[in-house]
Amino acid sequence: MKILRLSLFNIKKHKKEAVTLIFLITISVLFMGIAIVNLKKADTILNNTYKETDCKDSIYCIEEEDYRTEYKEVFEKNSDISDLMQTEILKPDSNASTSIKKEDGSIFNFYISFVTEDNEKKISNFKKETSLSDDEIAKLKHPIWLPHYVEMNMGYKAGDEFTISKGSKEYSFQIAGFYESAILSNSSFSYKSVVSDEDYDKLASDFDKLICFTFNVKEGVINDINESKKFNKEINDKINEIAGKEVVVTFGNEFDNQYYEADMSAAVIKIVMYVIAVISIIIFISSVIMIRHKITNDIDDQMESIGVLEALGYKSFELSLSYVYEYLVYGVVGSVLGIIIAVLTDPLMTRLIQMFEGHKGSAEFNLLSVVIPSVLFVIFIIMIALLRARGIKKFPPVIAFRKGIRTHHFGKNRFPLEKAGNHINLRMGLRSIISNKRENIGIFICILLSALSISFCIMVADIFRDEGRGFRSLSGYEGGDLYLTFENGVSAEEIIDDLYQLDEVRKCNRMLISAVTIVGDAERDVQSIAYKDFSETENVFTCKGRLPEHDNEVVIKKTIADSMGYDVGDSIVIRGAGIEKSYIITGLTNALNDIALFTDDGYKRIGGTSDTGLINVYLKDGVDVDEFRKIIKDRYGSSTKELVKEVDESGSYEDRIRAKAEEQMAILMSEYGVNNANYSIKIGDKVISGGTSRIRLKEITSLDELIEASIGGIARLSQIFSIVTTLVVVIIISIILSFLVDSTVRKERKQLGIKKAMGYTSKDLRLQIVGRIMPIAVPAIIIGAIVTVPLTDKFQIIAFGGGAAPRYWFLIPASIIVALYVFISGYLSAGKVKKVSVTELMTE
Amino acid sequence: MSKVIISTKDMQKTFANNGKQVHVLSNVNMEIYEGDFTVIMGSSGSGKSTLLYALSGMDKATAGKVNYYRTSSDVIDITKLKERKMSDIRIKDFGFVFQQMHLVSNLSLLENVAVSGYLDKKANAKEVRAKANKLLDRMGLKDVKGNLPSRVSGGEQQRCSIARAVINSPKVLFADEPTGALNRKNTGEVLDLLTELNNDGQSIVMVTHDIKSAYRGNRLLYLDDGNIVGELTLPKYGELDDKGERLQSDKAREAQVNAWLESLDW
Repeated sequence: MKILRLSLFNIKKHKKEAVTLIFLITISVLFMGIAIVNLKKADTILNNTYKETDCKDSIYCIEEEDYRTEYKEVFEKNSDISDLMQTEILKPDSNASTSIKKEDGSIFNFYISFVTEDNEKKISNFKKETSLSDDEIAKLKHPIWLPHYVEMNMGYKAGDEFTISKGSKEYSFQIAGFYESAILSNSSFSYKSVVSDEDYDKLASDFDKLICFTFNVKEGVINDINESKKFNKEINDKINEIAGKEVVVTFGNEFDNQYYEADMSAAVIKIVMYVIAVISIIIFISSVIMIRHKITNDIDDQMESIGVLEALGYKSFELSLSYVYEYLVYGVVGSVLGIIIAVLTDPLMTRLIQMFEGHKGSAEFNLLSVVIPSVLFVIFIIMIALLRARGIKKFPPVIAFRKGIRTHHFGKNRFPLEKAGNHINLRMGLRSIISNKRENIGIFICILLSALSISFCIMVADIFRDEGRGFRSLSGYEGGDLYLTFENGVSAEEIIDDLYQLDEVRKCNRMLISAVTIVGDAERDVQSIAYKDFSETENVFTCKGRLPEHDNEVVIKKTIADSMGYDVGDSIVIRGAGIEKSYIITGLTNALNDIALFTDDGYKRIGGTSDTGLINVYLKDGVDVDEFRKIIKDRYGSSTKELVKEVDESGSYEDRIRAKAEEQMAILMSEYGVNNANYSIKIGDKVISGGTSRIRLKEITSLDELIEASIGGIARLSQIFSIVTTLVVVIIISIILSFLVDSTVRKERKQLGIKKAMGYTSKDLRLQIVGRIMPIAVPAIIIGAIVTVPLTDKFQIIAFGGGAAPRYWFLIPASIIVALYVFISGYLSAGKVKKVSVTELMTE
Repeated sequence: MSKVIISTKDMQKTFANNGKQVHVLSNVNMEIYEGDFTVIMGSSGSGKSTLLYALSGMDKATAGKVNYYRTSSDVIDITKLKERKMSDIRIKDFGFVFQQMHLVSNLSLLENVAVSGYLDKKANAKEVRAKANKLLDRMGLKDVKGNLPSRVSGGEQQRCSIARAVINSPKVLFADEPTGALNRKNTGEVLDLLTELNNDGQSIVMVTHDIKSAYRGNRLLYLDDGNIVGELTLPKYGELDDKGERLQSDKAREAQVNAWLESLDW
């Protein structure tokens, strides 16, 4: 009890330091708890969504026109398949994307598919959630049940209008509520929504109908993505055999949905959690270093009291224990607070992860995941305190009365001042660094880890800069200012020649995009991208080897090559449109997507058609992209998407008639594949005429827009996370420095007083204190920045399978700013020196 | 008539203690003369050290003035000085010797002395080192000047602190009970050193409660209840008459000081 009293006395005496330590331990426990608990959730939310919705884990869809009843036998006879059900869904055809038209008129890309309630129940249990009553739902005009993703991420609620646009058409619904859909509920494979039977029948005329088989694959059959692909291929081969041709399969790859859907979001969440765990460890290491520092200073500070207590009969072990109890109190209070906050914030964290993953599956909070690291933290703190406090043993009462004078032993006079010249302060700083080397190693580690975190966060923020545009070079696509897509039947060469007539155009080239398969034991489906001449490209790079030049050459993604055991110079077989051909790998790319790069001629070898494709337009410097869009529309006709808006615009009666007629032309082209049609409308004496010749343009978009739609959300989240993490680390650095400087000032109060008496100003002394930190901080910051480069590269490989091009030179100004921050923070913390008065020496 | 180097006018020093105002110095009016060895005496708690710290600018007076006559035309009220200016005076014009020496523990004796020298930005590093060496030799610390303070005796430490105080040739050397922590032998050595410096022209203001130390001074002031209540002037210690004999023996000085102190209820 008497020992505990001593501990409480110490805590009371240094309240500020106690609060700082408890705060850091709390944050450390909290962060570690959040990281461990949510690392698990990243995987379990989707898994639980499957379980809780009784969702089949696989779906295999075939276009209705290709479907034959015999296909069902392929599934029925497969012994690895269970719970087989046949159902159907509607999805947009491959020529038109769908969008949500918001109330303010803005359009947001949203890939949607439709299913009836009965058919959804063959996929999952269709557990609905709504705030509307049955009567209210019954009164809704075109009720639609949307995936929770729409509710969580887009802010819609039951009862809201929900308008879908596809090509020139709009489909208005009213949201009846939301439901969880584990399968086909993501941006890659469409957001599956449930509509009434009547609406489904109406939509069937505008959307493609797919006949689908849903089923579960027996446990243990598919364990990784390669086994998933192998399983898929076996079924494909059997269906192709029955059909006698290659059947187009949609969603066929989703034998283990996790590998696709959860991959990106779960990987990002896991990386975020790993970073949080690393920050927790940094904070904890900082706390441990502070504890060591504080115990050493406390012993120095209380040396005479220790002597007195020992003289009174306290054993040195008991006095050591008083320190241990003190840190036990800090550890336990900090851990308990950390655990409580982790428990309280868990629902929020779960919600954030659910939003990010787009699923509302449950996620358990495992208290032990937080408690166990907390207990380990406390044990570690106690051990450190015990080891440090053992130092009291060295001070029997007499030596303690002399303020441990025996310990004032300096074996060698390092950095003698006789040789100092005019650099006396520097020498004094260096001497102080050497004499406190253990403490300084700790500070070095703290600052190194902090600098590393900050540098890494800056690089992550840079990778995701401009809504993810840092990934331009990873797309495998040319990154010009605009992509133009034209209706079938339009000659790309003709368009490109015509575009070059425009003064605004610097360069044009064409990309042909399709899907091919790399043949092997574990086949890999990849996106094929073909360019006429790679020497004209500006945004397509290899990380090894060179781009293709001949028709038998290909470049593939590095991670795919690694997983399949290929390298530059190897031959591979690629299949497209049922034709298999051998290619030589001339290079590897770090692209984000699974891609293969061909020349146009190389692409044609496996049946690639040379239709229009995407025409990539580079504009000259200073040309306004929006203005150029107008020029394109005037020249080639508005895109079918934009015609929808134009019809609504007010104008003269003639303009509106013309707009309506051109809308109908657009529908003919986009929905019915019409290449050429003309119209003439007589209004009184006037004839308005036009035709499809003016409407050749299908869509204007750009790589940036595609990137924004694809990873804009992840980019924003990552940037926010990077900024928040940087701020947390910056605050931690300030706390560490403030703590260290506080304790240095306390320890050296007398010495500082002497220096003031000699004529040093407070400013001089503050600079001296910072001068001790900077020689440790600067190398730590530099090493942190250097280590960030391979760490960022590794992070990109793990997270994206490729490497964007972060601007590593940013690390130089960033490091200078961090160093300046350390200097300013240390200098401000050292402001306590002002309070050191020479008169305190009078009491000695 | 000696030249005034420091004077005070209605100087007060008040401390707050548990919400109560304690007046340690009340309306002190006094002068310190150039070349004098001024000794301030008084009973315990009379405010001797407080007065010394106020005169030397180590602490600020609560009210009144402390004028330092840097030159005849440059009179500075040190109670009004900002830290930078005061620091400049501490470096160039004032030296201070503490009772507890207060040497920087991780600097050798030579370094402790030299550091003060380096503080004068106009000083040449080589000259400072040479001067520090010379001073330490003069103080009898030649063989130990490379040692750290913890490795030398209290007397050696105090002599080193005197060397540190005078390295910049201050106008005034303040000493707060410089022999308070020393044994008799070391006390004698330190007092001899101070006397020698004074005889060389160094103005000294020393606080002490030790009579043997006190009679080294030529002007003794007695502080009681926060004010100067007595003054005794003596010939300079060791001063010789025309015949080459000491004007006043130690015994005679001690007796005179004792009598003076008795008259003040010491």
